[in-house]
Formats: sequence, C-alpha cells, structure tokens
Amino acid sequence: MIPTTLIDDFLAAQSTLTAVDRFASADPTTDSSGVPAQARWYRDLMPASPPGPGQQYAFRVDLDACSGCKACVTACHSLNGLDEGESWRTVGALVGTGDNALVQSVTTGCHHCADPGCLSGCPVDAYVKDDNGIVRHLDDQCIGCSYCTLTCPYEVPRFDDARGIVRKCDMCHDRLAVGEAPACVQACPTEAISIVTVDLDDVGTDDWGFAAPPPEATRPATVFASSRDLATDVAPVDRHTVTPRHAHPPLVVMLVLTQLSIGAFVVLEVLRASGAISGTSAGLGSVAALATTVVALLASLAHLGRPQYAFRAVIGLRHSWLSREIVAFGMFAPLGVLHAATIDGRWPASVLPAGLTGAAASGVGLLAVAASVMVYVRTGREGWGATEVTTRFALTTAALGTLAVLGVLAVGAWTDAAAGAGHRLAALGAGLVLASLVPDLWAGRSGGEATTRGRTAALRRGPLHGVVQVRVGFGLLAALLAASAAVVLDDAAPIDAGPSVVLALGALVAAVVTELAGRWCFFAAEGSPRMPGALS
Amino acid sequence: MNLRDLLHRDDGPLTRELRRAPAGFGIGQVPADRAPTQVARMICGYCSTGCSLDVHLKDGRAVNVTPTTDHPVNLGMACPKGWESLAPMESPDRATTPMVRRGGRLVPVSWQQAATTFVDGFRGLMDQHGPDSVAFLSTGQIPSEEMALLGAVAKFGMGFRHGDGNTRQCMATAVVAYKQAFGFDSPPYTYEDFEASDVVVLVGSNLAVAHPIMWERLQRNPNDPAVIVVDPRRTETAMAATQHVAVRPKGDLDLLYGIGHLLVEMGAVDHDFVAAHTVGFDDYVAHVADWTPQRVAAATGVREADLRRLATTIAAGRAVSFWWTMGVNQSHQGVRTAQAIIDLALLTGNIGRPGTGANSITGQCNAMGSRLFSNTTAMLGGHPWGDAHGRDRVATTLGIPAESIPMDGGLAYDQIVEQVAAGRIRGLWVVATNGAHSWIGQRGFRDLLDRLDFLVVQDLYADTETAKHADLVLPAAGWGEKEGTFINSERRLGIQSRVRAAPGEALADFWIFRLLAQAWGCGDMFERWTSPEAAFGFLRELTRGQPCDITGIRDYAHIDAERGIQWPWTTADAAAGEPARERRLFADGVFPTADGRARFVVDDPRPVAEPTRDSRPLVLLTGRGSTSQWHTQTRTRRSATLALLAPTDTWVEIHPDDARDHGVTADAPCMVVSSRGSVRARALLTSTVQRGCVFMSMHDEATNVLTMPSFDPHSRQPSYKHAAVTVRPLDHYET
Repeated sequence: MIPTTLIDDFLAAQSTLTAVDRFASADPTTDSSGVPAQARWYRDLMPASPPGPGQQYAFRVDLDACSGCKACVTACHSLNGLDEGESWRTVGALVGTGDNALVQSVTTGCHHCADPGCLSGCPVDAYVKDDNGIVRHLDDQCIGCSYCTLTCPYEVPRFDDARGIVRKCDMCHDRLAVGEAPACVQACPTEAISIVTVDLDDVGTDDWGFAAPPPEATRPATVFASSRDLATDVAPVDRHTVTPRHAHPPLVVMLVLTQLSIGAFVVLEVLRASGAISGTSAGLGSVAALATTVVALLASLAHLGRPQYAFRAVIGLRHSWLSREIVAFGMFAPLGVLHAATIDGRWPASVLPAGLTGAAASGVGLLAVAASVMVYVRTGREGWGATEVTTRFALTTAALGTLAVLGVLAVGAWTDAAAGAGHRLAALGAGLVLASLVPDLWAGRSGGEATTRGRTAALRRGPLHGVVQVRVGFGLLAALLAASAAVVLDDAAPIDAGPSVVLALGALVAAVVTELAGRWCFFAAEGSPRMPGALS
Repeated sequence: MNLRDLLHRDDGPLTRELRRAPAGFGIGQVPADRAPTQVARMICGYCSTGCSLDVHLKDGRAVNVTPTTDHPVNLGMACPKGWESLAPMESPDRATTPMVRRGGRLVPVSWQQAATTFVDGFRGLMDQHGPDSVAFLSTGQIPSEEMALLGAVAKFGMGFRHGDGNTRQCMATAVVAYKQAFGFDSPPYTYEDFEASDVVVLVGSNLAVAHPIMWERLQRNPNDPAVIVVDPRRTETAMAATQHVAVRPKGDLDLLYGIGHLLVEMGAVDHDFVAAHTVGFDDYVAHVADWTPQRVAAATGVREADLRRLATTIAAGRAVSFWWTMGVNQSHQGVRTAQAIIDLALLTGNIGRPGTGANSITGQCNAMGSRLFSNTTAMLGGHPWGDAHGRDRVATTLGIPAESIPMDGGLAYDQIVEQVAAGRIRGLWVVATNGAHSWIGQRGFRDLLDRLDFLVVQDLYADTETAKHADLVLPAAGWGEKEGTFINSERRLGIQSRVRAAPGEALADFWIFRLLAQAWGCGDMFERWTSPEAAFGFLRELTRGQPCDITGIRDYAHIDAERGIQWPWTTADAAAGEPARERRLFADGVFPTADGRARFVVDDPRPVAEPTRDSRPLVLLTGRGSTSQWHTQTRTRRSATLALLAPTDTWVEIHPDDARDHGVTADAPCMVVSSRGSVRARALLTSTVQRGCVFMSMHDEATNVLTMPSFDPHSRQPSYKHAAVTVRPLDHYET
C-alpha cells in the first residue's frame, strides 16, 4: 500500500505551475523599444515604404526557397486566433510526371486581387479593398450567402457554419500598419514569403507558371517566383483526386422552384392572353405559382448563414448580380399578387388592365431568371459559361413551367380549359424535358484530365454517379409520362380526363426531381481549375 | 442603432473575435483575447532540434505558443508541430485516470488500485519465472530525470534485468559508431556549423522535412555552399541541393568507400591531421583501394562522372560538414556506414573546425538524454555496465547499495521481443512509446503483446495502438505539464516546465515512478528524488570527469538563462565564466579514446536481409512523410490544424513507369504486398521515387505491416528502409 498522503502530495505537486513561479517573464515591457524581437529577421521581407498611388501590397513567394514545411499555415492559425482546423494559408504541391523528378510546394493565402471577385460579387458590400490594396472582409456585415466562395477562383473565403459567415486572410493589415510582418511572413523558416509593393498595372497579367486558375478573371496580386520549369510535365499532386464541390442544397431548391414558378406564370399568362384558358384558371394558377416562389425564397433564406440580415442584400444592387436576383425575385412576388387580383376585372382593373400587370410580372420574373443566370456566369468559372448556364436555366424554366401548368390545370379540373390546351402542353413538356437532358449528354464526356470538362466528367462518373443516374432516369420518366399524357389528352379530350391527371402530376414530379439532380450536379460537378492541392 | 448601422456594419462581435493586440514581451501582435500576462520559455517536445517555444500564459492558463526569437537554436522559428504544441495536450482524448482491463474493457481505477495491480502483476511473474521474465521499454520523449528514475527504479529497486528504449529504433547506430570511432557517444557539432560550411554533405537525411529548423539554419549559410544530398529519393531536400546523388537503396556504404578511394587518389588527404589524431589510416587506404569508380558506379547506380564531381567538391571544400540521419541509422549495416562518413571527415581533417564534422542528427527530443541517462545501454551518466568504479559512483551518488546495481545491461529491444516470442518474457512495461505502430514487422509484435501475461502502458492517451493491448494503463502528464531537461542534437540541455495542469489524475512520469517504487516496497531507495531538479543534481554529479561532464551547470534557472547549455560544461569551465552560445567538440584534435586518437573503421558491405526477387521486385523505402506528423501520431493526430497538413489516407509513392508495369493507376487504390502482409494504399505516381523503389510514410499505421525485421549486428537497430515488396491493382472482390 502507498500512503494516500503520497498520492495526494504528488497530485498536488502536479497541479502547481512551476513555470509561472520560476521561469516566466511577467514583465511585458522586456523590450522597451516596442519593436518585436523577431523584427530583426523579417525586416528585409517587408517593403521600405507603403504602396504609393497606383500600387498595392502583395505576397511574394519564392518557390525555390519554400521547402514545404507548412509553418506558415500553423502560424496563421495561432497568431490570428483562428478556430481549430482553420487557417488562411494552404500548401499544395506539384510533382513531376515524366522524367523530371520534381516536388514543389506552393503556399497560398488570399491574393488580394486587383479586381477581387469576392468584392464585386458581394450583395451586402461586406468586402473592402483598402487604399494599400488589402482586401478585407467585414465579418459583421456578412449575411453568409457564400456567393464569394463561388466568385473567388482560389477558394479563399471559407464559410464557417458555426458563425454563419465567411472569413478570410486580411494580410494581417493591422500588423502591417505598425511595421510588423504578417504571421506567415514572420514564421517562414526559409524566408520564402515576403510582402512587396506591386504596380496595379502589372497585377494579374502574367500566367502563374504552374497549373492554377487563370489570373485574368480577378487579377490576383501574389507574385510566385521560381527558377524551375513548373509547367512542363509537372502537375498538382492532387490532380487525380476528384472532390465534388459544395452542392448548396438550398440553392438547388431555390433555383429549380423559382424557375418552375416563373415558367408556370409566364405560360399561364400566354394561355390567358391568347384565350386558351379562362381568367379564373389563370388567376388560381398564378397563386399556385406564387406560392412556389415563396417556398423557393424561403429555401434561399435557409441558404444564408445569417438570414436575419438578408435585407442588407439591397445595397449591392449597383454591382452584384446576386443583389439584383434577390431584388427581382422580391418584386416578382407582389407583382404576381397584383396580377392575380386584376384578372377577371376585379379591382383594380379600372386602373390596371390584367394584360399590363401580367406582362409586368412576367417580365420581372424572366429578368429574375436572367439575373440567376448572371449570378453564375459572372463568377467567371469555366464550367459556368454564358451559353451553358443560359441554356440550362431556360430549359428548366420552360420545361417545368409547362408541366406545372399542365399539372395545375389537371388537378384544378377547370371545365373552362379549352380543349386541346392539355394535349399541346403535355407534348411540349415532354419535348422540353428531353431537350433539358441534352447538355448532360456531353457533360459526361472527358476532355482530358487537366481540363474543366475533364474534371466535370470525372466527378460525374465518380462520386456524383448516383446523382447523374437520378437526373437521367427521372428525366426519361418525366418525358415518358408527359408523352403518355399527350396521347391520352387528344385534341378533344377534357384536361381532367381520369388517367391524365395522374400522368400529368407524375410528369411534373419526375421533372422536378430530374431538375433538382441536374442543379445538384451544376454545383457539385463544376470543374474549373483550383490552386494545387495536397494529398488527402 | 440607426438605419445606416443596420445596413452596413464594419465592427461588431464577429470582427472583435479576430482583433489583434500587442502582446508585449517583445512578441508583437497576437489575438487580443489571448494577449499574455506572462510568457514562459521551454523546449519543444517533438524532435531533437530542440527549438525553444514561448508559452503564452493568460491568468495562469497556457493560451498560445510562439517560437522564441532570442534562442540560439531556432531564431524565432518552429515547424507546424511546435506551433501546435498545446492542442494535443488539450485533447479530450487524454487519459485522466489509471485504467485496468476487466472483461476486455479498460475501466477506471484509483492510483492505489493501479499501483497494487502493477506490483501484483510484475512481482507475481518475477516470483514465478525469475527476474528475466519482465522488461521495460522506455523512450526518448521524456526528460532525462524521468528516464533516469525509470531506469533506477526498475533495475535497482524492482530488480528488472532488461529494459531498452525506442531510441534503439533511431539512434543506436550513431551511438555505436561514435563510441568505436571517437571513444564516446559524442556528436561533435553545433548548429552554427550549418552556417559556417562551404560544403554540406547530407547522407540519408531529408532535412527539410525531418528537421525543418535545421534546414532553416542551412538556408542561412552565407557562403553559397555546395549542398550534396545522398538519397535514393528526390526529396524536398534533394530538390534544393547543388548535387543530388540518387544512390540505389543501401548503396551508401559502397558510395562512401568509393568517395574515400577517389579522395585518396586525388591527394585530398589531410596528412597532418591524420598523423596527429587518428589510428587506422593505412588499413583504410588498403580497404578502399578495391572501391574503384567502376565498381562503385555498378554497385550504386551513380555515374562515375557524378562520383568524381562529388569527391572533387569535398576535396575543394574549405569547411566540409557531413550529416546523416535515419537513412544511415536505420540500416542493416548502419554502424559501418556512419563510420564510413566519419572516416571521410577524419581523412580530410574536417572535424573540430567551424563548419565541419561527422554529424549525426538525432531523432527524438531527448534521445541524447536517453543515451546518457536511461540506465539501459549504459549506466546512468554513460558509465559502462560492469565497470566497478562507475558502479560505486552510481551507488554513492544515489545513496543505494552497490549490490542493487546489476553487472550487465540486459537485452536490446529486438532481443526483448524475441524473448517474448519465446515465452520467456511474460511482462512488459511500456513508457511513452508505441511499438504496436512503430516496431518493424508490426503484426508479429502485436501478436506478441497479446501473448504477454501482463502489459502496462504509461502514456498520455489510452487509445494508442499499444495501449489497446494493455492490462493496465497509467495516465501520464505531457509536454508543458512537468519539469525536467532534454538534450538536443547538438548536446544542448534545455528545460521543461509546468505551464498547465495535467488533466484529471494524470501524473508526471516522475511521480508515477516514485509511486510505483513506494508500492513495490523500494520507495526508501528513491526518497532523495524529491523533484526532477533534485534528480538533475545526481545526474550532473554522475557526469563528473566524463566527456559529457555538466558539473558546471548550476541549476535549471542557469540553463534557462543561458538559452540552453551544451555538454560538456565542467566545473573548471564554469570557473572561467559563462558558456559561449555555440560550442563544438574536438577543436584540439583530442578524442575521448585511451590514446586520444580517433579510429578509422572499415568493413565489408553485407547483403540486405531481404533482396528483391521476381515476386517482390520493389524496395520499400520508409521515412517521414510530412512536417506536421510525429512518429506514430499519438499526439499530432489530436490537432485539427495539423490534420490539415498531412494525408489521412495510406499513400504509396511509385515511379510512373513501375506503376504502368504493375498495372497500377494514379490515385487508384492498390495493394502493397510483402511477405509479412498486405496493405491497401492509394498510388501517387511520381518520378521523385527512382525506378525499383516505392515509398511510404512512417507515420502511417499500415507501413510497418510491410517492413522486414532485420537489424544492424553492432547496434541492433532495425533496418526500416529496405523490404522487398510488390504492388498490384486490387482484385475485384477487394474493391
């Protein structure tokens, strides 16, 4: 037996802190100059004077000196008080793929671009570019829309679930302001990272020199210097690793449902104006479409990290397509309500003819869809070219709008529906659903492993294979059901004829599923280039 | 709040979370909510570089770590592991109470019960099967005072005959090489030598990844040095070399003899030095005469022109330093290879001057402490077992009867493993090491752990690969939770101190050893060990007159004030003032051998234990895979930030042509197969690995399933870097 006092003594001894008594310095003014001791090592890694007019600060990375130790990553984490597992620097690697035996680490932080994608896209002006060129994120202004994670080609802003905002590198601007080096510069044992001033005219004009997102889009300021050929037979070490991007499920729902409702609204309005259906049908259909819009907008709120500040989105109207999209959808809803109220001569038909309100709501709705298109086109991502996005969104709007109207009219069992409208809607819907699958036909075909198309193809064949199968399977099912409905609903048949209701609704549901799967792939399989990554 | 603020806010709680503020203490800005009220210096607890870290304390709590600027080792730098020193300590995975295995599960018990279990377990075995039936496995990761107390309690108090350390896996080769060549285990250098050389030769060392801060020192060399890297792989270090000698695996001994041959041939011998300070030169010349460039080129795969270029560079060097690490030490002929490096330094007179030396870079933070004070391969203070004089000194200094000190040192790690396999060792006490991950040919080792009657694991966590087999787990305090000294690669003593409370009932190993001694009934013998600093007093006294004499060191405060003190620092040295910041050995050309001369040692190369063959045509190389992982990852895997920096999957690096020949595709899973087992890994196709080789990270638990248990006959160090394997695509049922 051990005397219990001995155990207690040892436990007590264990809990005192010797360093505090004996070896700790409790005098913060050990260096009265106020200049950090480390300054003697990093002084030469800083510009002699701040940037002048037409200049900005930039990181400069001497790739020859970088040994890949990654101290920059941990120093950024520790010296900036970031969360466990959070750092604003990442280190990837390039390796030789042929006879050139080569390994080269690439450390990247924020590039503090001359034309920052994060800033121009932000709907709430949560980014500022200071006079010295540093791009800062205003954490308390952020509503957590994550749009900057799409407009930045370099995956610099990272969304933080707990706080509902993104955070990013600020080049330790307040350190720089007092002559201290940023954390990564201070911590690099081989002095591979430094701060330089660069002329804005020279920024982002040169190719990186290795596989990376093309610099033209945002004109990143970082300078990578290397004496080695990092372009020939050299590739990112993670080039074969296919990691789907974030699928943003609330945005998937929002995009599909807004396009459905606006498509439906426009189709109804065309049918009403042409006299194919009565005003009552169109009014009730409009309400159904508007209800879908509301659901879609609620889904988009769920996408926000801090939905309580969603109203701030109006302030980016002058430059942000996301702001414009939000405002346009915001206007579509009341205009649609107004239109429903004017139909059939109800108030305020005396002042506003239904044709005018219908055209206004349809126009704003279509503009909103166009804004959605621009939201993605403006990211500059190779996988989201104008033709690609426009085609996809337009086909979704048309196909779902048509099938939704078919479904609404079938369920509504409105006897005044003109004979023949159901037949034509079903046939058109079947065709449009098939058409919407066409872009998928070539999306799955490889264009070489190092291309955007190749990465998309690899993602669709690999981790997203199941989603692609849902997309194609439900698309074909929707087309089949709609075509069957078209057969049942010949020119003379009433639209509510028994089996046609089931077929029409089935076609609508299947079409919604195929479009949801399609939009999921739209985000997750986007294959534009990234900075070199690491092994995972 | 007005409308403008509601619409646009550039300040608020989220912004304030990331506010930075001046720390004071000469540190610069830090996160405002972690601005320190005190700062304590201590040595990092991972590798042997011995970087000093400033621990930031806020109201008595350790809140952050930055590297110490004013320290001769690291000049304000640290690698990711050092920066993240606190995270593994704060992990919720820490063991907080002793635990005993009951019904297959570890259940918490009191220290009283744990100590009783310990005594019953080991004493029962010793009573029934004799003192040879138990052994301990120690470590290079705990302070010297603790490993000394472990060695003393186990061997002098409890009567253990066998005990070895995990330093057998990293430094045994260098120890034997130095002992035979210099007369004492004496790495001669100081880190300043990296900066003072004009030729730097790195053999089997990926310095940039394994010792990033030593690499920093080399990068600060103002002489635009020639950097020669001898390594089968084109590592980050080789990338930065002026000459990369991509030697065939285990071709290094042939290469070094071939270089010696050329140096003799070109008249690059420093005859004055050789004549005055060495023995065995003629035998050396006769030996290397056979290593003609033609023969060496055939044996190593290095072209004759490259051999000549290498020799010419060394011959032309004003200050040539030779450095080696695990590529040499972890070899079936490591001792002779290390000595072939020493031979080159002696031959060219590159020793004792700034920028020179035959320099073994150490592995663990206190491997050097283990070499001097663990009471395993030598008695405390480096006195050989069986030396009557040394035995008396140990007995007198510790105040214990000389009869309690055994006459021999017992078995080495691999021999202990053999005895477990033979059923003769039945109880094992494992302290701060993780053999179930790190031992060569790991599967066999794990089977043996389950065969033991009694396994005690003393560690920070109860979930290490070894602890999973334990009958008793003792929760230990870790870095920053205890006191003591480490000795780094350049012989510099540095201090550890308590800057945070250990979780729960975890205790410093020092207190655990005292408790167990008390429970065993030999507590009286160790009552003088009242604190680590008191123990330091004994250890210091035991070095008096030894080459590692540190009797001039006053106390811990002295070490701290001097930013570490390199051995030797004798009473006589101390009388003349304070130590210089950097000191090297052998400036006078006098070596600690009986005649004061260094020895040339040569031998014939031996074949590898497992040559490649048709069914296993590839050589498996192992080594450090990243700067952010430490050994078996017992600690580093607890840090989410370090986890960002290293792969989580098992990877195998393979040359694209070999991959093609074996039907293995990039990034696809494949099987790596040796005669010990198979491992599923993802293939990284890269020409940094030469044809005929594959590389896997030592930090991956799977790697040692494949390695081939073979040992250097002189040092008994395992040869981790040569096993015959093949790779193949997965069969359809394996996918």
